[in-house]
Amino acid sequence: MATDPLLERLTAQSWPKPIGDHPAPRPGQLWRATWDGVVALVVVLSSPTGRRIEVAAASPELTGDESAIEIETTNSMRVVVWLSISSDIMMFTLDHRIGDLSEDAIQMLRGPDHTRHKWGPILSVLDDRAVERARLQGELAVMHDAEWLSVSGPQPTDVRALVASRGLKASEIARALSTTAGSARRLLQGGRELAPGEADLLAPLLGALPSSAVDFDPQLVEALDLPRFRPAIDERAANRFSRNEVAARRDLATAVLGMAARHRSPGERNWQLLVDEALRAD
Amino acid sequence: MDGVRDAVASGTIDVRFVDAARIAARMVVRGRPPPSGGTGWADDEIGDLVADMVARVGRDKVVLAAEKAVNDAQLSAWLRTALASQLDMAARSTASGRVLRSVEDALREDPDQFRLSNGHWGLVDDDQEPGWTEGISPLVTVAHTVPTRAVRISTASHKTPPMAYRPDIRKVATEVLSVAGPLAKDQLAEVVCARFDGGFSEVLGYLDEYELDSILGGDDDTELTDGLLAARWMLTQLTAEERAGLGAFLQTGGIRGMADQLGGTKYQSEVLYARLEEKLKTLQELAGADEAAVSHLLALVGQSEQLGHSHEDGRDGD
Repeated sequence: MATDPLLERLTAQSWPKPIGDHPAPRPGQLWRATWDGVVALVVVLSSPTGRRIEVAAASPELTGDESAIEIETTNSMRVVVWLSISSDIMMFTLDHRIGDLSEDAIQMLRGPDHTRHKWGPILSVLDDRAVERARLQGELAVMHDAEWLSVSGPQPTDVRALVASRGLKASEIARALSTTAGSARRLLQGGRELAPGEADLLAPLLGALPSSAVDFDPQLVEALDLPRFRPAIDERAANRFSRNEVAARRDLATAVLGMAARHRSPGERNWQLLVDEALRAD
Repeated sequence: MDGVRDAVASGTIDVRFVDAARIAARMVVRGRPPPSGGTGWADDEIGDLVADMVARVGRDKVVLAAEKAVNDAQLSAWLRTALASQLDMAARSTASGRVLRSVEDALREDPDQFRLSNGHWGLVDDDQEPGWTEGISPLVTVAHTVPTRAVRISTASHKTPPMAYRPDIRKVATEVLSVAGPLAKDQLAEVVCARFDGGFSEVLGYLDEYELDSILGGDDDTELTDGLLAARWMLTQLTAEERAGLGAFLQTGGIRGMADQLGGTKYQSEVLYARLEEKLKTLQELAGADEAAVSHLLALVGQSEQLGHSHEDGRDGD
């Protein structure tokens, strides 16, 4: 088979390979984070605290402000880390690890060594670096504000309150849920709670995502936030929830709660094990 | 080219990437003369363009661009930008050569402040001898502390626009020379080049020479008033997103419409709006409060939109 000369030229040299795994995040790692169609590159600055993790924005573009430093990962990826743009983002937005910073790079993150800084401050919005800064700030804000638990806000998010505020009838709810009028009536009268996935089916009709009536155990939520479950949850979202990761996560959490209720063994529950089990059952 | 983003993001360079890069290259060479001087770009010339681009930006940047992309369309948009920059860099001499002339033009215009002696530019009232040995990096930092109206020196300019960024170059040179003392001409040009024409700007989609010619329609007999000159110069100072923003403003008649059409985060919308406001203010100042300058700029932006040289980041594609 004839080989492509351009392909031959390009592959004659080795290409850096992102690690692409999903370990527990640790300081000094470069990650891809993604949520709601937005992608960010981030460097982990400290160990996770609850559901959040402190990161700084990283960019492949070789530009920065006075806080920015150019660093290299052990797998030869060079990025600029903007230390002035940091945030405690939601851990579940972490998609996969791209690389680990070299020891030298980690030292640079720790110690303010101004001789290593290459760029001056951004004093005017006309400075092109202001565009890059805004892009990075926006990306981190998306990762910071991301949430898959019930949506909170000034509007009522309880399903009954939402139905009442819109003047909807049980028959309309039944149609949206593809269920019987009796089942819809029970839901509206408090005789039953929303089943997994029903909140998302009702959202277009109600104009808002009704809050899940189920209170998820905080430790279950933390377990589900772990990056190691992200690939399977993404797959679940693609296959069963039209790529809606919020719906896929809430449905999975409900399924895990159901499994936990059936496990009557004494002692603390191992939520990660239960999540594994629920994903295997998919 | 399904799956090219995923493949490159995992460090796999195969026929999918090569095909995507070739398609992107064919798109950006349209209307540009091939290196051989023939009528069309040969396959090996396209191959050279792609390979040269990869060598310039670095293999890790290609992989990171794939990591950063949401989908194949975004990676293709990145490839088109990188390949267009590669063509621009090959087409012009050297950035610093062009900037060298711009610096000369600007500083010679003000002999009361700048003097040229033994190939070094210095400040007239500065007694220091040439002897800066710390490299240009700290001077670039100093240069960035000077707010200016121009964000870049156009790659398309054959000479420095006298009313536009010469005052900005003088402001930057004054600050840099006051720190460094007299500097060799090429050193000062390098600092100015880094300040106004940094590598980063190339990803923002400023118009290149060919695109500008397409929009302006080459030589015409229109009398070039100050307003028209300023508008044409300002067109070179707008990023692709800013041109798209003004285009959307024209279509929708409002800022809200502009933001809705472009998408992006609130940070990006705020910066876009603030930059456009500043740039339009500058345009009016340059044109002596001539409203026609803004109208002319909007007409040019409309033309650039029709030519398809606008915002293309693949945000909506897949």
